[in-house]
Amino acid sequence: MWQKIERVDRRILYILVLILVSLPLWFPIGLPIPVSSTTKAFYNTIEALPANSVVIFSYDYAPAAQAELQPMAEAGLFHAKSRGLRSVLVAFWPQGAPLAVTAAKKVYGDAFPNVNEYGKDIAGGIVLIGYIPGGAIGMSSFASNVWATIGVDHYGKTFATLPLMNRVKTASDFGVFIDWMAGTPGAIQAVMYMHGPYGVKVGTGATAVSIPEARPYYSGGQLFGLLEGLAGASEYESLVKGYGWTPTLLAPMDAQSLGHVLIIIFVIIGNIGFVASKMKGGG
Amino acid sequence: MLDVIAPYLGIVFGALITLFVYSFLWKENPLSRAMEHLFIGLAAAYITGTVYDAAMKVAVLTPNRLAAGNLIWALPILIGFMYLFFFTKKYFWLYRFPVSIVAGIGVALVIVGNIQSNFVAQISATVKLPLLGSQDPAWSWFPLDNILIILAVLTVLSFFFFTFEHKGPLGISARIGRYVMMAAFGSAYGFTVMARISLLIGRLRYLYETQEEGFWAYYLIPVAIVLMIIVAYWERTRKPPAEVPPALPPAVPPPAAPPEEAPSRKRKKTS
Repeated sequence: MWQKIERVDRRILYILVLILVSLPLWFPIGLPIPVSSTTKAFYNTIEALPANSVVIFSYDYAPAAQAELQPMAEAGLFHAKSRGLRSVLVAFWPQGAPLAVTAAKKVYGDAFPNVNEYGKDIAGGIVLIGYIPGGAIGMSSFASNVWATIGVDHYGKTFATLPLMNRVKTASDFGVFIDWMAGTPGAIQAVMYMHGPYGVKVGTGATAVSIPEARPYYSGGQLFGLLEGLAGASEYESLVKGYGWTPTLLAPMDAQSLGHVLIIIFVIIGNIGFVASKMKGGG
Repeated sequence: MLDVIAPYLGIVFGALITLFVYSFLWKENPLSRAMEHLFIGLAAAYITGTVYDAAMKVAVLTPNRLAAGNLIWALPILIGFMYLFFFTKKYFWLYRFPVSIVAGIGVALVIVGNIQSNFVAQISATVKLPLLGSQDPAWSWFPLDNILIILAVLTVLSFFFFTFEHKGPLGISARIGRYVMMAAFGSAYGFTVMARISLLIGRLRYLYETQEEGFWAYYLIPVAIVLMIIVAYWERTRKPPAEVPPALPPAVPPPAAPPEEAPSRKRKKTS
């Protein structure tokens, strides 16, 4: 029997995953979401920033990672705006700038960039610089001299016409640098080219695949906080809820949890089948 | 007119493309292959446009650059265009210049950044760990966290110590190091599973939650299934391409070849 289970058609497993992940999206269970220490550290650092600080948000991901990173990127921008911080949005991935626009529209309204806060050095002020070419080289150049790296925003306005940009010239002007990371360049490069040489505080919200790579930097004190995939985004949303943010990931986290339970069951059954067939002399 | 139907078209294409891509899980088929090609083509076109736009902003539109008559900024553009020599045989050597420049700058940056952030800072953080303590405040009742980290670092390092044979204490340490690495790989696998499930949730949320005036994306699921069945039926019933018969051996043996000359060391002209 175990051998039969071991050789089950993979398509049956796919269908089981589809059903179990779909069900909570239609009928949420409401499983509790405990907040991890890495998420708390991320949230607390933003909370501790002086009200007029500048936060650099870097949208270093493509639509493929949107499911995991967009919710935290939107909640992060909302958090900064609610605290009266100034936000500067950049992207070191070509596909990142439109995702930054989507996040800004969600937080500042569909009229963005035609909003009162755009370009101004006021509470909730925002500038969207957009894509900066060069990958890690561009990131290093941005840290050493923002205005020399690029002098116009996403919409072609020169920095001289945007009062907020008068406060953002080198890495020493960054309150914190937050990287929404799906690969390279991402938070690891920000640690190398901003935290290392200039002492900029770097935090990240990363796709689950990138977490094993980013974890040692958090343990080493080089990242001030870490949002770990969809779970981290959901934890962060639950903290930002205090500012009036509507959590979007309660049902998806139920789906995530059930999906994990199913995978764990598959792994256990697969291993029992493997051991059973080995004991029978099959392996 | 286009403004009215555009949101509906967006939903139709978004839902159908999602379903066609996932149809690969059942079996590779022409629809999933077509979506792969569409993705690659769109991504390449989009990135080309975005990078061109960004290069224009950096080299031309930024104050005091090309638009202001500062001709030195034509140089990076020219160097960038030298990448196109990749496609010629005669001037391929010119392609090596931009590659060398980018590689040189990249290597210089990586050396400096790596030594500071990945080497010195990581070693320093490990050395500074107090012997008793926990990494996570929620686990403060278990103050052996740091000891585990130190042991894990030492045993993993011993696994990669090949000067002596892995026997005795070194063998035990290396074996523990192997288990530590297996635990780390298991953790990475767990995160990968989490990421893949998250991606599935993202697409399912698109299908279940996207709508335009009561026209829901999940309405397209039966349409996609019917299309997939039609394509599968077409693929099953179409005639296989005619096979080319293998070439027959020549009836008369060819005349003997002239004696071979020693191979010349001179490079062939490629132009």
